[in-house]
Amino acid sequence: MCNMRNCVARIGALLLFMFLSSPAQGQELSQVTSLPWQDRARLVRSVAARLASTTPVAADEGMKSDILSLLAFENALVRSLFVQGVGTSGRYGEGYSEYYSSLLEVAGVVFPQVKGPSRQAWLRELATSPHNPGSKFSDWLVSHGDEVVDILIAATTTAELDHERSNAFSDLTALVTSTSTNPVRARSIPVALSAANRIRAIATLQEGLSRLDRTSREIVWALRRDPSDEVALMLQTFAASNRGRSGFTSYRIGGSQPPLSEEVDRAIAHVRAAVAARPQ
Amino acid sequence: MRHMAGNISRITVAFGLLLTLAQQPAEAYYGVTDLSYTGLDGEGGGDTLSGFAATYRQPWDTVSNRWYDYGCECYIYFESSMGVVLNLYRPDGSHFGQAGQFDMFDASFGFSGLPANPAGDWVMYSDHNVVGRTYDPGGYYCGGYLPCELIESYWWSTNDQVRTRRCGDQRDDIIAQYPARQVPWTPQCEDFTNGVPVQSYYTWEDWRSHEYPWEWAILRDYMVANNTCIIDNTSPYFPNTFSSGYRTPNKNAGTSGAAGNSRHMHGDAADIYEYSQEGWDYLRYVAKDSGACGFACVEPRSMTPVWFHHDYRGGCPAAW
Repeated sequence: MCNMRNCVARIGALLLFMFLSSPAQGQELSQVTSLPWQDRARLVRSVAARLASTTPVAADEGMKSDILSLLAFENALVRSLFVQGVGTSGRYGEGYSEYYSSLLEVAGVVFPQVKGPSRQAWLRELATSPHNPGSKFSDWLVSHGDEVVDILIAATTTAELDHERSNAFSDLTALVTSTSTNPVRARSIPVALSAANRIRAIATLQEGLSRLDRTSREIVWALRRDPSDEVALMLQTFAASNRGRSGFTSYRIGGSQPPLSEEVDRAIAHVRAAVAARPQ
Repeated sequence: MRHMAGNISRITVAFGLLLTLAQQPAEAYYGVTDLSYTGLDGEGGGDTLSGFAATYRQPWDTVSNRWYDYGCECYIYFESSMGVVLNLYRPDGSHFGQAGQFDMFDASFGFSGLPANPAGDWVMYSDHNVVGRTYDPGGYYCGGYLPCELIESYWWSTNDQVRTRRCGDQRDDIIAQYPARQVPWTPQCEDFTNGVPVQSYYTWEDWRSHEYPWEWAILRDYMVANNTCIIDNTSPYFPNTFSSGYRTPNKNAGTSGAAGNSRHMHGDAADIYEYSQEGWDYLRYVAKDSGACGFACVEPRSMTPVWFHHDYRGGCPAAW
């Protein structure tokens, strides 16, 4: 992790590395030192192309570290503009979001080459990076199973922003559902999660569900996304134990969503239908 | 040096006049038809220039037994702009070249070395605001001298662009903006609509982003239908205020930081204002996860705290 100020120095080094290792772009060095996001985007695309080339470039330790610094810098920037109520899209346009997504893809290519304790630092940064629940990135993050479970559990309480904590709950739910027995949705990446870690993850989800707020709703939506017999049982148990409670069955004053009970009932119906339609 | 007539509000320049202005032998100038120009004396609004442009093919030189290689030329003429940069784009949208003229009054410049058969939609785009501006450009034309042979007449019009007449209406001018703005996709006439294609709670004015004078927009019916479905599913809980629908490339370029290939230019994206976390979450769920209204690509809320962007491009960015 780094704050915006000390990230700048590291990013300068990263960009220098990128230029020096890409002679065709060396002439543009002067543009890059001023660090407009469009230049960062161009360079990340260049790195992505090199990493994906027929003779992929192995990332050395300096490059790995610099990409992590760039990711931390962008995450800090996104948070800062979100808190200001502007957002990166408000300030820079939707092009920034697409750049950011490509940075995540680069991080996804480099991360498997990261060894040792720094993997945890990477996963902490990635877990709180801007992404939607159920996105390809979310699936990738969840695929790290035991390695990411503690980070996600911690992020449900310690992540800086409300939606980051909410995302952590969604990803943690996906971690649990992806390791259900006989899930309807086959995953392209197998997830390894020990029984002990799975129990801890489920306990965290139960705590989130008991809040009967938007966190509970996110967990319900995430459960709905990955139907299985276990998921159906979890939803039914949740509904049975909360039926009649005001936060569960009633509209919240000023709320912008239907009662949670309606969402749960719809999710149960969806999961049951998916499980029934599953090829035996 | 050839130049057009002076700065008058309405000019009609006939073929014969151009012939006499040409440095090249008059008989060599080929393919020019009536050329007329309606200008507004720099007071804004739509200058209209109509007449010709051309697709050429080079003939076979039976004497030297080879293709003529003199090439063909396109020229821009302007009357009293304070500097012009002219870009020429190939039919595939790639940049052919750039020419600049920073003198004033009656300047002309152009491109040579066009390929033997430059068929297709070559687009010239000029930014006459580069240095300053006193009047709109006086006109453009693509011309050639024998042995370039005109094989197709073009229509060309408006302030800044030259293109083929393909749709025969404003769509031609909107289409011309795509290669000119280096959008890596160029729409066809049939991609456009002049009304909301399916039921919607938003008006035609909303969908075309209140952008005048265009009466056409690209609005994918599945996008509008999914948008309507999203509103149906969320409006009982909070009001939805439309933010943005179709954007022409020029409009998009004027939108702060918009993506160079924004889906709004493809007609498959819409933005809805939503400030609350709960409302935003529910929009995302309905649009992306519920399956009730298609499966949208949704820009993460971290990036857009005050509006909800959804599009239907197919494969979404990894984090969307």
